[in-house]
Amino acid sequence: MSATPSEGPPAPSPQTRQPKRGNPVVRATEDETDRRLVRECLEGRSHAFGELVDRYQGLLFNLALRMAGDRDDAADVVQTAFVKAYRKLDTFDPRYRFFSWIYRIVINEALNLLNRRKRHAALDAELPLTGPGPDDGAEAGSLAEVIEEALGELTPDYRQVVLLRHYADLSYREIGETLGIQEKTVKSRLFSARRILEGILVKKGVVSA
Amino acid sequence: MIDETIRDLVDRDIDGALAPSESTELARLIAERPEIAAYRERMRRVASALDAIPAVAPPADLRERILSAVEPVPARPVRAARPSWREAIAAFFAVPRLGYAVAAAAGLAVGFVGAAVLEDRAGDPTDPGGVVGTLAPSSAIPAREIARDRVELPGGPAEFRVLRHDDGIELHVALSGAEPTRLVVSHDPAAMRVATCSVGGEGAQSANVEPAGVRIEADGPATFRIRYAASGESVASLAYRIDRAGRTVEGSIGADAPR
Repeated sequence: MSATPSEGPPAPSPQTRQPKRGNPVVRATEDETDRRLVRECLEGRSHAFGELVDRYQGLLFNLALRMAGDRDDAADVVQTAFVKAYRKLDTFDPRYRFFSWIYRIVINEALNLLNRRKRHAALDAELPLTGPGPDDGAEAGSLAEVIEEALGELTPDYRQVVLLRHYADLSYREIGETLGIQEKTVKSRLFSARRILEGILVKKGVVSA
Repeated sequence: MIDETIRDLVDRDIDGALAPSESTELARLIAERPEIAAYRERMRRVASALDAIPAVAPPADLRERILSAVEPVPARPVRAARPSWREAIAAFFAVPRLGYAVAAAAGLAVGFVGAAVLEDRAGDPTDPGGVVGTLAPSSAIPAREIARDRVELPGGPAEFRVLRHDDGIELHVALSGAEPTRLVVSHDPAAMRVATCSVGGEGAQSANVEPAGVRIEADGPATFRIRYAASGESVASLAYRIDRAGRTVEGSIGADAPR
């Protein structure tokens, strides 16, 4: 992965990845925009929450999808999370990033969903996740599909740090802040997860040993 | 054998998190030991594959679902009081030393402000989309009770009362219990329009006026009063639908009676 900072992010289309947000100036600007929108929402300006939804629904949906493993469930998780966020918006601490705050709401909903599924499915082991399939743009047998399957074999703790690092492009510190864990724990989980994924990808012939 | 310290260097290098001295050290190790170079290349490919995780478009209606579930109104609507037209005029003329020409312009502006306030307060029940009403305290005008209903729900009942006023009806809703509740009260827009709506109680979250109904959400005990102005000879009954704890109850409360 290139460590070079990104240029200013263009408006992402629904089918493209959110541009890398490594530039600290860009990141700080976005965080300030989020805080302004939260203030405006609390002041009763109706457009502000819609803008927050626009800014984060795509990213949160994709993160929820890789946790929940099902498109409809992921949409429900994100919807519920935004509604809860709206109702509790006055509890948001602007010293922290809005994304970190709402992501924790999303992940709690996703984990609750997984727990409910476990109770209903009467399985002892972690349920395998299928992730996005060919209908969602990952062609059968493609690298993307292999990666999705491999992600599904990780535990939720490992999967989260991988997604936050490689999909959401958060730094170790930001991941720690989002998940409420120490930075060294982030690195430990991330590095271990990547080695597990390496083993899976070697086994599937995607990466040579 | 690659020890953990070197693996850590390689992983942090992939994430662009090495200090300059560490980068120099890693470059030296890679030059001296091919197995480290090979390990770094493998991990780099893993990271590249992860960086290429494709974006999946959320459902096209997700945004609408979210916003319709929250509605674009303040979290505490009764506190967002609008100034009356008298207050707006008083504030306008509070600016000192206005000339006659400005005063004449102010008179025109007052006319437009007054019309806009009246227009908004009247609402348009035939508007096919969006929120058309406002929230304002209702006055406690003595009235005659014409209907009453009680619905048992998980966590506590919902009680309805319909009162007849000279110019319409008023619906009182009292929600008990701590469970989140969503209530939609529908009316015939040809026969009635919502004039005012007030909320009370710690659990009251929102009351949103729509062309043919009022959507109420509460997270605990709450009371709501909806005042309807009649626009015809008779007042149609009100239909309701309550959702709480996975249970849905539908019914109607009669207000049919010739005026």
